Amino acid sequence: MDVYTTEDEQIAAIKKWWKENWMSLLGGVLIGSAVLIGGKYWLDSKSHHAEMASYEFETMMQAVNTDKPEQAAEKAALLLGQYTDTPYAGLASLTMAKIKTDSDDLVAAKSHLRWAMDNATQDDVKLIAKMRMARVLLAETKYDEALTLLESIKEDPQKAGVEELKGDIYVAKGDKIKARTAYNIALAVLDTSADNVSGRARDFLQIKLDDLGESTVPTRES
Amino acid sequence: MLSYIREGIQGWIAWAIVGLLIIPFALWGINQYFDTGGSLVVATVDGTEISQQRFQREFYSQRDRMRQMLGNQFSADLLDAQLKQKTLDDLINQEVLFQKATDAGFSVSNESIIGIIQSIEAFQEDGQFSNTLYKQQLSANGETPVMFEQRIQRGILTQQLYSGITTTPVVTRYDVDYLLKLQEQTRHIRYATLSVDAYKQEADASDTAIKQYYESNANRYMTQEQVSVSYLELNVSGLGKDAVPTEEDLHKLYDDRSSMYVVPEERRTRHILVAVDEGGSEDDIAAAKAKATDLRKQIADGADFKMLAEQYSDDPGSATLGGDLGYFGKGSLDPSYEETMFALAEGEVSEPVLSSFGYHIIKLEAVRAQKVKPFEEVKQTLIAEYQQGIADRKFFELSEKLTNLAYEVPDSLEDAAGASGLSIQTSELFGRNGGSGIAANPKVALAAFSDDVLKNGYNSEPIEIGENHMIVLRIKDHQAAKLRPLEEVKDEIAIQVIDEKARERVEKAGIDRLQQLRNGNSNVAEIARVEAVNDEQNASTSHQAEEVEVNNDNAEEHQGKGKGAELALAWQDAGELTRTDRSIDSKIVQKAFKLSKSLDGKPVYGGVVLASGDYVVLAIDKVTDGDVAAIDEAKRLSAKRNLLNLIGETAFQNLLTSFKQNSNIVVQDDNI
Repeated sequence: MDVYTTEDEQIAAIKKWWKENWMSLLGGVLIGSAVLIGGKYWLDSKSHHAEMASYEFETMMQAVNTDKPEQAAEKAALLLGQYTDTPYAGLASLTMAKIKTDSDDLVAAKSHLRWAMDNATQDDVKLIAKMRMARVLLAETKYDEALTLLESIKEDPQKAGVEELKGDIYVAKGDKIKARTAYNIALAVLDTSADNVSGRARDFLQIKLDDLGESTVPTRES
Repeated sequence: MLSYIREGIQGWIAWAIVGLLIIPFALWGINQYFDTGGSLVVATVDGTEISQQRFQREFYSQRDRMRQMLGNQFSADLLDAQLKQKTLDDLINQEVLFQKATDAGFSVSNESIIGIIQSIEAFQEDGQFSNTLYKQQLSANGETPVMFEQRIQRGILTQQLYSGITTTPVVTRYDVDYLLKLQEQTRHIRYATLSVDAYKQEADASDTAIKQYYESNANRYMTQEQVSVSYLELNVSGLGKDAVPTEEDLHKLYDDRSSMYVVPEERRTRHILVAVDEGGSEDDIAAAKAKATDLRKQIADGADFKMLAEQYSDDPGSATLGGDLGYFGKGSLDPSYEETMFALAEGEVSEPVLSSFGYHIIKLEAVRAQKVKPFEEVKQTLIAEYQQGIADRKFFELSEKLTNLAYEVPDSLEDAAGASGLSIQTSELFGRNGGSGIAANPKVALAAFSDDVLKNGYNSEPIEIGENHMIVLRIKDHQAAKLRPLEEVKDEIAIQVIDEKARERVEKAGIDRLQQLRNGNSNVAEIARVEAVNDEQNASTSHQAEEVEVNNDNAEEHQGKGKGAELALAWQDAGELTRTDRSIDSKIVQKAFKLSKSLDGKPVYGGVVLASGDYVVLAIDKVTDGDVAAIDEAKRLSAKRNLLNLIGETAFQNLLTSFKQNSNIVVQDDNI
C-alpha cells in the first residue's frame, strides 16, 4: 500500500474501487449464500430421504426376525420402489431373495438377486448377491452357469466363501479333485482368527474335505 | 489507514463482517467450534480419532461386566491386557463399520434415535421418559447427551449393515441336504489295536541313549524357578479385639441403632368407607357425611360392624373382610385416619372422619404395644459392632501408612513394619503357579514374579487378598531354574527312552500291516471281513466289540519270538458310527471319517497312532450318507438355521476384514 502517499488518497482509492465493484461484490455474496443455503437444503432433503428408507428397513428387518415374510415383503417392495438410490434397496432385494428361497420359489429368488447384482449401491452387496445367486443355481443343478458366475468374481474379500461354493458345486458335479482343490484354497484363505465364526466355518469345511477322502499312501498320520 | 478502520468499524463494515460470520454459524451450528481439542488418542481410523476417554469408558464397562460374571474368580491383573486388546479391537471395528456405513449412505433420523432413547428403561420414571433422569444417568457414566446420542447412532447404523448381511443368506434345500448327509453319515468301522506295551518289554535303554536324551531334552529336566517372600499382612479381623468400650459408648450406639431394637406400636382397625370422589362438590361431601352418620347411628343402635362394612363400605380391599385393615404403625395411613385410630380405645368406634378418600367409621380391634429389646440383651452385639468400627478405622489408617511407606522406601519393609506395628513374616518357596499359605492366592505369585519385585527388588504394591485384608511383599530368596543332575533323573529318562523306542516300533509294525492289507495280498483282511459280515448278518444291530481271531499266513513273522500281539490282528467290530460317536477312541472315529470311500465295495484301510502310543489299524466296510428323507422337519429347520447363521456371519466377517484392510488404522500403544 506504499503506492498511496496520503490517507486521503487511500480513502479516495477505496471509494473508487467500491463504486466500480460493489455490484459484483454484492452479487458474489448473494450467489455464495444462495449456493450454501441451497446446498444445505439439498443435503437435508437427501438425508431425509435416506432416513425414511432407514426407518422402512428397520420395520422390514423386524418382520423378518419375527417370521412375518408377507409384512417384510411389503416393506421390501416399498424400498425397491422409492428408495433405489439408497443402500437399503440392495439389502431389501437380498431379503426378498431369502424369503423367496424359503418358499422354494427359486426363479423369483434369482430375479431379486439379479437386481441386487446390477443395481445395489454398494459393491460389497453386489458381490454377496453374486455368491447367493451361485448358490441358487447350484440348487437348480445349473452347475456350469454357477461356476462361470463364480469365476467372474475378481475381488478378494469373500474369497473363502467363493472357493467353498466352487467346491460344493464340484462335489455336486462329481469332480472330486477340483472340489478338493477349491476346499483347500478356502481353508487356506479363511480368517485365521480363533473366534467362534471362523472356527465353525473351518470345521464344516474340514468335514466336506474329509468326505472327499485323502490320498491312500500310508504316512505317519495315515 | 488503521485509524480509518477503527472509525469505520462502528459503521457498515462491522456489520458486514458480523453478517458474514453469522452465515457459517447459522448453517452448521456452534458445537463444532467447541470440540475438546488436544485430548489423548488411542487410535485413528482414516483420520477419525478414538479418544482415550472413550476407550477407557468402554474398557471399564466391559471389565465391570466381566467382574459380575466371574465374581470372586475375577483377577484384574490377569485379564486386563487381554481385555484392553479386545476393547481396542471392538472400538476400531465399530469405527470402521460406522465410517463405511455412513459413506455407503446408511443414515438414521434424529426422531428414531430419540425414540430409542426414550424407550430405554433406565431413563424412565413410572414408565415415562424423564429428561432429568436421563442426564443424571449419563453424567454418572461420564457422558454427555451428545456423546450418548452419537453412540446410539453408531450402533444403529452398524447394526443395519450387519443384519442386512447376516440375516438374509439364501439356504436352499440342496444346501440343507448336503449338510445333513454329511452330518448324519455313518461308517461301519472295524479296528485292531497293536499295543505299545508289548514292545516296551523288549526295548531297553543304554546309558549312552539316556545321556543323549538328557542332553537334547535338558529343558524338561529343569527345576522350577522359585521364590520366597517377606511380607506384611494387614487384616481387619482382630484389629479391634482390644478395644474396650465404656458403658457410655455403648449407650450412645444403642440410641443410634434404636430403629433396630425398637418395634413401634401397631394397631389393628376395621373401617367402613363412604367414598367421596376426588374433586367432589360440597353436595357430594354433605351426602357422604349424611350416609356415614346414618351408618354410625345404626352401629350405636347395635348393628354389627362387620356386616355393615361388608354391605356398605366403598373400600373394595377390606369390605369383604368385614372392613379389616390389619395392623399398621404410624406413618403409613392417611393422617386423619391415623390420628383417629391412635385416639381410640380398644373396641371403641369413631364418629365419621374425613380423609382424602371420603368418610371413615373406624373401629379399633386390637393394639400391639411397642416392643423394645432392652440394652442388656443386645449389649454383646453392640460391643462387637463397636469393635468392628474401631477395626475399620484402624485398618484404614494402617493401610495408608503401609502403602505410603512401602512405596517411599521401596527396598525394605522395615520402615513400613515399624510405622504400622506389623511384624514381617516369611513364606515358603513357591513357583510361578503359586504354592501354599499366602502363595495360594494367584495375585501373590503374580506380584512376586513381576519385574518390579523380582528383577528390581522393590516392594510390591499393596495386594488385596480379601475384603479389608491386604499384604505388601518383597523377595526374600530367589532360586533360579537349574538343570537337575543326571543321576536324579536317570530312571525317569529310561522310561521315556523305552517308551519312544516302543512307539517307533509299534508304529512301524502297524504301517507294515496296513501296507499288506492295502496291497490286498493278505488273507488277514479278507477272512476278518467275511467273519465280520457274517457277524453283522447274525446280529446286525449288535454294536458290541467282537474279537475275531485271525490266522496269519506270514508264518515267518508269526513264529518269530512269540510276538503274537504284533502279528495277529484282533479285529473289533465297532459297528455303524456317526461322526460324533464317542463309544470308541475319538481319534479312531476322526480317522475313519477322513478315509476315502470305497469305490469297489472292498474295505478301505487306515491307521492311526493313539495318544497312548498304541497303533490302530482300521477298516471301513460301509459308508452310509445321512438319510435325508427320514430326517424330521425340526432337525431340518435347525440345520437350516445353523447354515444361514454360518454363511451370514462368515460373509460379514470377511466384509469387515476387507474394510479394515482398506482403512488406514493407526494405533497409539502408549495411550492405551
